Amino acid sequence: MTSREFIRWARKSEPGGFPWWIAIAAAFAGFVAWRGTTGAWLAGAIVAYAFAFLRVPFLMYWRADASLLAQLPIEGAALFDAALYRCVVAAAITTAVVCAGAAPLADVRPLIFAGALGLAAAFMLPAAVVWSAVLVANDQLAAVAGAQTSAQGASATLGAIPGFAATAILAPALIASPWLTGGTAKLPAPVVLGAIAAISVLAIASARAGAAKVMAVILRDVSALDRQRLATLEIRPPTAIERAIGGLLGDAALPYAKTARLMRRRYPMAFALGALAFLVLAIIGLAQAPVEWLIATLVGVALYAGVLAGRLGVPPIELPRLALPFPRSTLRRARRAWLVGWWAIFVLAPGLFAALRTEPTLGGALLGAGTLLVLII
Amino acid sequence: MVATLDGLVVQYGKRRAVDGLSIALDAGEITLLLGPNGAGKSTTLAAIAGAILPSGGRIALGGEDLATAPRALRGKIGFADQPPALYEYFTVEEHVGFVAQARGASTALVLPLLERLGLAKIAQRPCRELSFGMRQRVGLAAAIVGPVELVLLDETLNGLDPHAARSARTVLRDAADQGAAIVMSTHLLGVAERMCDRVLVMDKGKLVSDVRGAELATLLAKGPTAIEDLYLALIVDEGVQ
Repeated sequence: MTSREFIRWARKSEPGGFPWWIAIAAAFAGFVAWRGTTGAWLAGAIVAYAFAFLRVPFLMYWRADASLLAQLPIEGAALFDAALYRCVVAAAITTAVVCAGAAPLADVRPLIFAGALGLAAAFMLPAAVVWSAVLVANDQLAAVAGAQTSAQGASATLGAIPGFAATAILAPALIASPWLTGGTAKLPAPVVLGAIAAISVLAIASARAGAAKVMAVILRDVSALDRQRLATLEIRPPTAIERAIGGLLGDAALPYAKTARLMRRRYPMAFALGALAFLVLAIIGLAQAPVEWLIATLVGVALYAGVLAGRLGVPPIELPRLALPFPRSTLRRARRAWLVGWWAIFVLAPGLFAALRTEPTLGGALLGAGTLLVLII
Repeated sequence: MVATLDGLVVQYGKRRAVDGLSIALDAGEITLLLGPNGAGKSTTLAAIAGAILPSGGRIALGGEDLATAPRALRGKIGFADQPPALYEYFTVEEHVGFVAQARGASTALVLPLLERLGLAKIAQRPCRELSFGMRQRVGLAAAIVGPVELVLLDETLNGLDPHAARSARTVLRDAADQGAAIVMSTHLLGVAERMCDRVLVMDKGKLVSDVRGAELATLLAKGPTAIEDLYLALIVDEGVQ
């Protein structure tokens, strides 16, 4: 099967949904027009690309069909090209949203900035995640040969390298960002953005040559490792926070305890991203950053909370076919308690601190709106 | 009488999966639900369990209409779906323990039950790591743990090795002896006929045969393939297929 044929099949297997990105682009443009500053655009753009970068491993190999694809006699090049195609489409959508957001600024510099980060999302991050997966696959092969290895170490590689690559792209871009408003940056923006674009193209060219040979191995080993890692991770009793929240829930305590344990095991990323949001909000508060950073971060976290709310109601967290004697209202209360707990710890507490240190009225109103949203969904 | 179905209808779009089914299920009775693929067996079991909403008719448990009865009444119904619905990130003990607690029972029941079903050794393994047969057994354990009065098993005996099948039969017979009504759909007629007290045959959503008591004893006395012969005779004689 050629790359083109396989991509056609892959596209068929993923039904298109509502184009939410158009609404997000319009909202972003509205936000930038309201604030009227390049800083507002930059804050939104960085949050958008941070999400795009973190999504890349899920587009490449952490997918439901990974183990099936690994078994089929599909050439590694086709597997890699299809994965890359998904990344390019996702990066193009993110870039379109970010460029639409820059429309009120009527300036070409944000578009150049977005273009460089878009190339990184499309090419550099996929190259980095494939490289980390190759290391893991080689590690697994070494384990078969008798060398020492560990699931935790391999998993750390899978998470750390893409995270490091994302930081290595966003940090210099931020340092060079005064160029957007004609200011003097510590790093020259043309050099930084040009380097990001050039390295992205070179990285994907070199990754494609190597990845095509091992893509099937990557899919098989990473999906197997993912199963192994998540299955053996955190088979632990409820935490003190979970017990405290459960104690307040009455008849919803049991389904809440179940949801809390399953979310810890199945979606550890929710806690990693929550911790990241906590850190970013704390830095915004400590640095008394412009309120646009607080707004962009809160919007991003609120969108992610919406994703989590969707996951709470479906397998493997909720099993309607198990036909247990819980009223729907009890299950809803348990799910809401988990989401509100997550929001309170990772967003509300540091968000209040950041709001008080930046713009208490606007920040407080946004936090209130976000909390209300979490309570409703 | 544990449960009654009165004119049960389940409609999928234009297709009637269950078409006016009326049966009464008695305490202490193991009922075998037979029928060709697509006969409506699984849909019937899922509708009784409350996993899908009936389009018409009435399902009553202990005289109470399940549509209006308190949700807690469903704690008396155990259901093993096909494939069994398991919390993949729970260990076997956690999964069965959670179901027991949801039904208001003690988790102290769990380990002895797992022991009886030959699952004690894998009690601490996550459900997602289990083989097909083990998943079936965990589904069975979850269906019968706690104060269940009606146990619904959808192809749950499929994929069990001979030891597991025997222990499953023993556990189910004990549950029936303690007053539970057990209904199981299966195509493994040889396994099921060794333990059933009643045979229901469905086709195209309707009940086409109901054999029990002396009639069933007479049938079984005819030989080891008596139920299979009954099934095949019904299909041919009534022109069902």
